[in-house]
Amino acid sequence: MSDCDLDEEYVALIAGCQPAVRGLLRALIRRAPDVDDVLQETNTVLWRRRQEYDRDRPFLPWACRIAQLQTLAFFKRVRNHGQSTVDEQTLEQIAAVATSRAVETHAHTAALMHCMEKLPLEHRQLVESRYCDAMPVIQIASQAGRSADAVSMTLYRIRKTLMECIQKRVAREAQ
Amino acid sequence: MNSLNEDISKELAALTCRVLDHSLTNEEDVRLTEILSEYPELIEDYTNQIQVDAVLTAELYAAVPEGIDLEALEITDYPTVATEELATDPGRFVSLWQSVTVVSVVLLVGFALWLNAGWWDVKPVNQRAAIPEPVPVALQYVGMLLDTEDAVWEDEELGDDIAYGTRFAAGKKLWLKSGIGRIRFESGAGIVLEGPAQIELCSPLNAKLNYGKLAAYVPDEAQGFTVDTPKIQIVDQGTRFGTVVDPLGKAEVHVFEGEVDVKPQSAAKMLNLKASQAVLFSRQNELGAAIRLTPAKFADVPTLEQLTAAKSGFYPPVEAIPFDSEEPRNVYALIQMQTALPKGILAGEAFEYPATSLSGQTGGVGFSHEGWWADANFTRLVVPEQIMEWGELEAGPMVLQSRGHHHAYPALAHRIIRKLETPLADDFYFSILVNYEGLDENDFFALWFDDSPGGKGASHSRVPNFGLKEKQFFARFDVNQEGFFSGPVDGETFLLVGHVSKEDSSSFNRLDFWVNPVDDRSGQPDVVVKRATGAKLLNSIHSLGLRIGQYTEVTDSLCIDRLVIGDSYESVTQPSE
Repeated sequence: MSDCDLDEEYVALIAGCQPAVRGLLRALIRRAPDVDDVLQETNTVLWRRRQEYDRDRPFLPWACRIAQLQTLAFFKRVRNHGQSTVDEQTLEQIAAVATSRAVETHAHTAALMHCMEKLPLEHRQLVESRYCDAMPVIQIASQAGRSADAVSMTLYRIRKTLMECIQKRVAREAQ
Repeated sequence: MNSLNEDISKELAALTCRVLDHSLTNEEDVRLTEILSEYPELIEDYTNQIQVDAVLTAELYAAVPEGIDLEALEITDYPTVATEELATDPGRFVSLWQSVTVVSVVLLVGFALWLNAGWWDVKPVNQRAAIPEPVPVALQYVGMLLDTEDAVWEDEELGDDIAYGTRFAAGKKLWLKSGIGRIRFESGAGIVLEGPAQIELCSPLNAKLNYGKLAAYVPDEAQGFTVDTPKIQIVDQGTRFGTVVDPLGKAEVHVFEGEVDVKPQSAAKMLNLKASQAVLFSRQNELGAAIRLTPAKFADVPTLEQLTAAKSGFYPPVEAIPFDSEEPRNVYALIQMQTALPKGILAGEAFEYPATSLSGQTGGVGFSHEGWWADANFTRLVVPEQIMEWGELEAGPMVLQSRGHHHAYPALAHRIIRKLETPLADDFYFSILVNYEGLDENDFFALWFDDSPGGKGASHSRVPNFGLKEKQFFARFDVNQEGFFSGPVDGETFLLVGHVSKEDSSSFNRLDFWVNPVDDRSGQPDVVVKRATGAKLLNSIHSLGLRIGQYTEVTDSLCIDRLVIGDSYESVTQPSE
């Protein structure tokens, strides 16, 4: 394969891992503007270090590891400004779980699809309003005549159900 | 769980919701950090929430700036952006990455978001309003499946593998989970659908594409063929066009030839698009924004020959176009049976039969009793003018000759397939003599090894393949992991030797490949290919087969002979006694 082909393939790998890496950063950093900044730095590092990537190994864990290192660097910067951050051990634990889940959900998008199908209609519609229409929780709540906290907790339970369903299917497929 | 932990879990759930609603205060952020540090057993719940949200979220999609030209930012353009430029121009970098992300995220998010109980009930835009309805009432069927490539369907009635030539009644809804499917409409229009896609065949002149990628060839008799999407209606005016529709309704329309009229849901008037124009309709730009025409993103539409052949109502064509019979010369095989195979091999086939067709033949060594599947229209057993040989390796008097692809037939041109008697679970070697006449740049053939023979739409493209591509011999696990070595010469016989192995793995993950090896070069392969994530995980090989590329010519001739599988390099490269 030519360098150009390899670069294209590599860019496709980076593009493909964006939701998972963003999820990892979100779990670690939380604030959306900071997440955007560190995601951008992670992408730059991924691109600069493309020659180091071993193509025989899965890309996503490599990308998550770089995101984790970029997060550490970010925490070091903001800690100097007095901002609170998670400690290194907690960061390791969150990153380990997030990477593992990211690999599962990335490789089993079909499982997610299946699990979504199993949701009751009203839950699917709620997910659609929140994620498809990008509607803020407060707006959904207002339209439904419910409190924002109640809608948030329903979404929380739906996400929990989805993750349990995905993990079950992934385990079944692995057997 | 004790009541303290239960309280903490509830508090963590509420704080996680705040994170995901973008409403977390500084104090809550500090508290969240405390909880995660003090109760590490709750980290999993917290992280799971964030990850599911990340996959579901449409935030990235919604963040695309208005009017951005996604096409101009496709990944193929990316390598031209210098690293320095990325580092010094962060604004551009963000836009680029957000946009590159969109291309892939749309797929991910798309999977998650198509799910809507009333999905099929999405109202098309002014359906059939612009053109008079033809005469569907008298037609029982509106379309027919011509062929597929790696297609996985989800269909309660027909299953996941729909047979070529299946006819569909009006209103038939098809869900193509992955792969490619080609369909001819009774009006004469032909489409290629690329999954994941969902389509309803409404009438001979109308389809409702709710999601997926579609390209159409519309001959004159089918002018007015209409594709409805959730947000736009595309009315063909005699043309070739393509459209990509995502579950949120975003749609691209590319016109390759002729012209189409496009009617956005939100606009009062039609937009007329001419050849070489492409437009993106999105939430941000409901009236459409010009984008770059990219024919390469669409699979090949059905050929004119396919559409013509399917007019009869039967497909693939029932008329056999066999090779000329050479029965008299084939009697030599009776006295030469299997003499071209060496001893001590795992499996082998010398193609020596007292017949002209390989179909149903059960000879050879180490193969299943079920015999060969062979396409009788395109293969025959023949006695060539010269015996195929390379070095000291000499084949028997007969060879298997295969013709190239005929445009009236399905795009995936399988030629022979056979199961092995005993699956190959350990490392193995193979060798085969090949001779290709009519060689040009587009020609392709591959000998594949898989864990099942597959259906006619199975391309076996993600398993070990050895053969010819772009005028070079190649070995690959999938199209992204190919190794090439030297080119064949038109009309000359070559010996291909391969090694399929498991390197510190329970599945096959390494291919070694030799072209015309001299002496013992077992330690010096010409090509080494290692498996990466895109290829299928194979623990054992149950079947093998040969297919020829869709861009070969029917006048091309591929001859093969002396197919040998063994457990050592020597066993497959030694002459027969």
